[in-house]
Amino acid sequence: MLHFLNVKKIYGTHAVIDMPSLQLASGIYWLRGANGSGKSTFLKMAGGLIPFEGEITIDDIHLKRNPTEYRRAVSYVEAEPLYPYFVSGLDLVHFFTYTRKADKKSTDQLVEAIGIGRFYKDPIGTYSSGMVKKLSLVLAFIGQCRFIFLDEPLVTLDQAAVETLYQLIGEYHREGTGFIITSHQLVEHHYFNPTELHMKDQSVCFQ
Amino acid sequence: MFSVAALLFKTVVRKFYERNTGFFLFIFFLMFGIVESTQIVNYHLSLMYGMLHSVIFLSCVCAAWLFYMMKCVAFVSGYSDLPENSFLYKLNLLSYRRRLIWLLFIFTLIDLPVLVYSSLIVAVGIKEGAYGAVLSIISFHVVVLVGASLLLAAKLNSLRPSRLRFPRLRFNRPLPLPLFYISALFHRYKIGVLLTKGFSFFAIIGFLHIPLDHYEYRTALMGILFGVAAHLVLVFEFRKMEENNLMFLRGLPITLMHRFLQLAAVYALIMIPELALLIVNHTPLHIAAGIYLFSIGLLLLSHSRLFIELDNDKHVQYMLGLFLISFMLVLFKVYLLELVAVWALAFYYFRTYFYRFERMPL
Repeated sequence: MLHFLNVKKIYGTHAVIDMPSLQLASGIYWLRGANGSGKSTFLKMAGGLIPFEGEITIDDIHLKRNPTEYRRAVSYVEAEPLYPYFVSGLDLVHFFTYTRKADKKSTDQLVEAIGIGRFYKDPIGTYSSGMVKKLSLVLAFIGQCRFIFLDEPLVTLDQAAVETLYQLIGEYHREGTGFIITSHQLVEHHYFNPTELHMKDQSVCFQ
Repeated sequence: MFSVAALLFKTVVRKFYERNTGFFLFIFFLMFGIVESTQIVNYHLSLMYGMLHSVIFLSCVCAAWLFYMMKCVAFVSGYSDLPENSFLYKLNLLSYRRRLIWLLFIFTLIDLPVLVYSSLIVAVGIKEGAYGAVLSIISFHVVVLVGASLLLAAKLNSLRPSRLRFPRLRFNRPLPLPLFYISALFHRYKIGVLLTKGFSFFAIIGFLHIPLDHYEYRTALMGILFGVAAHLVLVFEFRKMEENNLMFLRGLPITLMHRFLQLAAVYALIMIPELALLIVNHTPLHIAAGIYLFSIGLLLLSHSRLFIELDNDKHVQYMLGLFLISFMLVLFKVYLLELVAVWALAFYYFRTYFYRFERMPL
């Protein structure tokens, strides 16, 4: 269970998020909202990347009191991920596997499933935006996360990669992982049927 | 025509000198601050005679000038890539000859400190009858200035990014986190690293060779203070890199202590050449180790403080103040106390502000 309590995010004098309470059971959620409505900010807060007021917990693991354990339980991938161009995808995959205490075998399976094995030993500077996106998705799935936050995961992916991603989401969800996905494209598939969430009045709410 | 000159001066030349004020102050100090005032003229005359009569010495000096010009080209090239400076590409509307003349104008003004000093060497050379050396110096500057202008003209005329690159270093094994930073040094900041290390070495050697009757560890400490100051640009670049390309690290389950120790490992690796230099110059091992830890602590403090605010101007002011205080503490032989204080303060800043920092969205 992901729980937000009195969560506020203010830039200058402008409140982007002001959410008294929200509880999300482990499911697949499609977060919708206009540009600039705060979807990415919401996911970054939940991913433990940016500061905020209030409390976020996952299964009683408190982000502010137990930051390392919380971060082990969640994973976030940006809409337009940026990595150092001089390191290779392999470097990052190894690094994530090590820090997330994941087993190498399941990481290798991810690499094969998403199809980055062909290029991930090369420096990231040589990748296309679609290749970087695929790498970021592999990194997002590494480890035993309870919730994975995917910000615009479909952008720049080809149809085959989208199909693989949906399959992975379905498989991980069956094993108990929750997902919050932002997308301007339709997130729907025969593998799963997501619950819609909406950004409304600086808050996230069910339809 | 005057308006073009004024615009280029204001936007490129002045910006270059503003960005490198610390560097020029440091060079000024090396050239005029480490010699007794009564000996300055003789000191520089000796240097000039050395350059005029020794091919090896002159070659070394020319190599240093060449590195400086590479820094200038890298600056102007990178500066022209910034969105707000896209007007520089309008130079392409001019004829090739005219474009070259304007670029030559920019590089001449940027290279002015070197050219002024070189003019004095040429004057001394003519008086000494060292016409071969004089001709070499003049030819060197003509070739370097024209070469720099040609390189930049080609760059402005091309839609491709600058090709002024050294060969890439490749690691076949996965990199641990500290090596992400070290790798960045070899890929992104090659010239910056060369210059930083060059000045750091100059400072340390300069201070270590101050003639004294007995061994005095404070000279090495003062040298390392200047050496650390030379590294501040790299520290700022690292922080920018963290915000631009290493944001994903914040979401990983790594404890703050572990992150801090990894950062300490980064700076420990970076300062190994300075440690080696101290040991080679007969600094006792325990003192060299203390100075090494001191330098790492100062760099960590500099880095950690940038989690409060990623503002280079304020950062430089703060660090300048810190260096003045450090200088006094070194003079009064209480640097061990400061060593503990800078490490403690660095960890405090890191622990308090690491997760509080957020670059404001545009």
